[in-house]
Amino acid sequence: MSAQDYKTNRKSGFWSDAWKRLRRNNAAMFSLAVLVLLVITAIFADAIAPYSYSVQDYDNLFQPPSAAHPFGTDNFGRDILSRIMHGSRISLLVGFSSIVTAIIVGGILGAVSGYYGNRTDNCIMRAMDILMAIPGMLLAISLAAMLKPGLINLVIAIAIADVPGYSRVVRASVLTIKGQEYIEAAQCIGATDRRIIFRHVLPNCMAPIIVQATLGMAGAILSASALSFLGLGIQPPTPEWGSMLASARQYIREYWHMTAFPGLAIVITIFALNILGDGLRDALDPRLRR
Amino acid sequence: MSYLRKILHVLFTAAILIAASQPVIAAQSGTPKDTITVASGADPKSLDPYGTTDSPAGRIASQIFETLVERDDAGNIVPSLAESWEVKDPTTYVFHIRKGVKFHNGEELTANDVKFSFDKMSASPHASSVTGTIDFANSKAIDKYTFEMKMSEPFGPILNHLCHGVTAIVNEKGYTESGSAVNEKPIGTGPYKFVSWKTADSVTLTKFDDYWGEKAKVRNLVFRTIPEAASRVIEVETGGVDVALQVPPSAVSRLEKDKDIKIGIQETFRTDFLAFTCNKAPMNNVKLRQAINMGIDINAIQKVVFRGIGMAAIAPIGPSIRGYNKDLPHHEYNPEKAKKLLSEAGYPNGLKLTLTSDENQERLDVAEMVQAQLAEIGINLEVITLERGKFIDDVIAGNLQMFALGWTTNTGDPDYALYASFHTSMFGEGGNMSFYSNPKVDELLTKGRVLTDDKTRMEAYYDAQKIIWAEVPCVFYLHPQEITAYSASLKDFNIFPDGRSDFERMYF
Repeated sequence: MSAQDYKTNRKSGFWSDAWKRLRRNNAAMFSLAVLVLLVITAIFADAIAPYSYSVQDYDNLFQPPSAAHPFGTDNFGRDILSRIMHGSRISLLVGFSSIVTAIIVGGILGAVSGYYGNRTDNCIMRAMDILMAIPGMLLAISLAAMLKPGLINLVIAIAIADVPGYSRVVRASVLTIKGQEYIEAAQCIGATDRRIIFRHVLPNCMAPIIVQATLGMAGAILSASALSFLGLGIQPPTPEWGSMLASARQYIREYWHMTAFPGLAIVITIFALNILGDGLRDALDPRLRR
Repeated sequence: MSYLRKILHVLFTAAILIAASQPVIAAQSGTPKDTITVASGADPKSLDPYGTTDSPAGRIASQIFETLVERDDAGNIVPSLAESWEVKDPTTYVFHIRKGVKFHNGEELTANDVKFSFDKMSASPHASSVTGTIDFANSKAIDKYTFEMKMSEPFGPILNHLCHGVTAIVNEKGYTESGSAVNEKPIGTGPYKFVSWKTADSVTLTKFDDYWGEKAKVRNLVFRTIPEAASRVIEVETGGVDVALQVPPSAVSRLEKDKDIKIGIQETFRTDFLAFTCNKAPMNNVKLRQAINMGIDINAIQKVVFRGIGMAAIAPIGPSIRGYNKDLPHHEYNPEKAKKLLSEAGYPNGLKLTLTSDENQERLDVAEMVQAQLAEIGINLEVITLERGKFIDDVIAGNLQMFALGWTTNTGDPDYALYASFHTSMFGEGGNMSFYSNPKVDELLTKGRVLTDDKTRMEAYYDAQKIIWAEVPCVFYLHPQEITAYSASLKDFNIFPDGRSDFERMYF
């Protein structure tokens, strides 16, 4: 694109431009489609899943994939496809809500830190450094072990481990935005700090946050699966991909389908989120466009 | 150039292959192996014989320590550290200690060590269910090789109980010198002596050359802790270990096809159950417990989780234990009737309960099945998984509602099974983990313990089982069989119903 395009396309804003660029990226669009499909599955799981996720059928244990059970059945005779469909709810819910929590907390901390600078900045960032010094997964495991297993605690455990990342990203953008003329202008007309931060600063650093969030969500889903695999996450009978893997692993050599399908579900979701995240980064950063 | 590279490639690959196959060749042609490696599912809690009664510890401790008497393969009581004994009257037993028995630290066994060991037992909370009515204060060493054991009341099964590992004989000097490190430096008289213990990894023992009896045939004995059942199976298949204990039922069909591996399926003294904490609401409600019992399909559990291995429970104690009551009504699975009982119990709209378990995979699977079955009668069951140590602590403290556990009657006598588990005086640490109390049961169990006539004893146990079965302090679901996979080159492999093995008899 050239400066010419901007003149002829004056009405289109930053976001519609980005969308246009994203649409040209086939891989990212495909990933987006996969994710939309996943969201639809999660929302309508009750209606579209062929079986209940918890009903055990003792006459059909360990069935290999067949027409009746496309992904086979597990050690209690439960339909694996239905369990994966219901499991997508937990994965997406945990992934999404932990990222949103992390963004809100990290974003505010980062914005305050970047905007006020000096001692405030120093305090907050050193605290973040301490958190960052502990590997994210280790932190999440210890938090999950400390809190009782369950959905909300899982979200908290993953979110806390992600907070420093967001606060750094936001702080960096705030530092560049802070020096812009429009911020000075807002300060001149007497806008409060809160208004400046929330109305002028934060909306302008949305782009890096969105990219970080998409990539971070992949990490969060993976962490949720890992924690559930270790027995620290979602408790039975609620299906979760990680815990499905965990209980299937003892049968891995006899009944491959029990581990293969939940594993594939995780792989595909993580892959799609990562490709989409890359695509978004390219699309949202005008300097990168070719 | 590319030729040279190709040749190098081939040579390199060949070198790797040769290197990789080297140990196999050595193993086939060299001297017989001098180490038996055993894969067990859990680390011992303590190697102090009085510090625990848990079975991974008992298995290892029974190689290091010995008791006054022991059971032979047929279950008869035979001499061990006591060469012979006399029953002077029902409350006086005189043991003649075997002469020339050496401890691992070189000390000779005397009646003083026996006295010291008995004092340690009397102070141990883990031993009380085993030692019964031994009158510790009046038991004494008469001379260097004679020990007199007094009983406060006659105790029918006492000799059976003295086979239990918690009554092991330690060396006074060694035990005192070890001080607080006593569970890390066990000194006994057994065929193997202690070398090292790497927590959560392995316990290594080596042959005791001065052993009084038949010496061990294989020099080293290593117990590796491999919590993952599938990993234990893989290890025995690849030759990493010689014996894999607690093989999951799902692996049996594949292992049977492997001609290098043998499978032992052994009756056990164990019964698995879901216990209720009966002295606290809501589980103090008999009708509620009966409703839950009726809502659980124990035959399906045996079929699904245990793949048909073991026996769906028919009594509070299994058929391998003397005096089990075979005439009890069969466990009835009837969701409709269970629902009715539930509303009679005061819960017409169902209720929410918690079931706690350790990380044992079979128990978790049982919990998940029970969760689904109870959902049908309107009980919303939350399954909580705890780390084993914390789990046992909570069980003993009576903090839980329902929990999944098993009881191994190591003595093979109903007293140890029933008295410890269901007598009011045994609450918590003593073994009555369901905090069940019924004066009639107490009376019967005391009768079974005090009487020495076998027939009347067994009748008392019959009646006690009838009451326990009806009042459901536990949902008894399985009399399990232990599956062990071991290398076909290991000869004379043995395992007893109490989970112990005589490793000193095995050889390659």
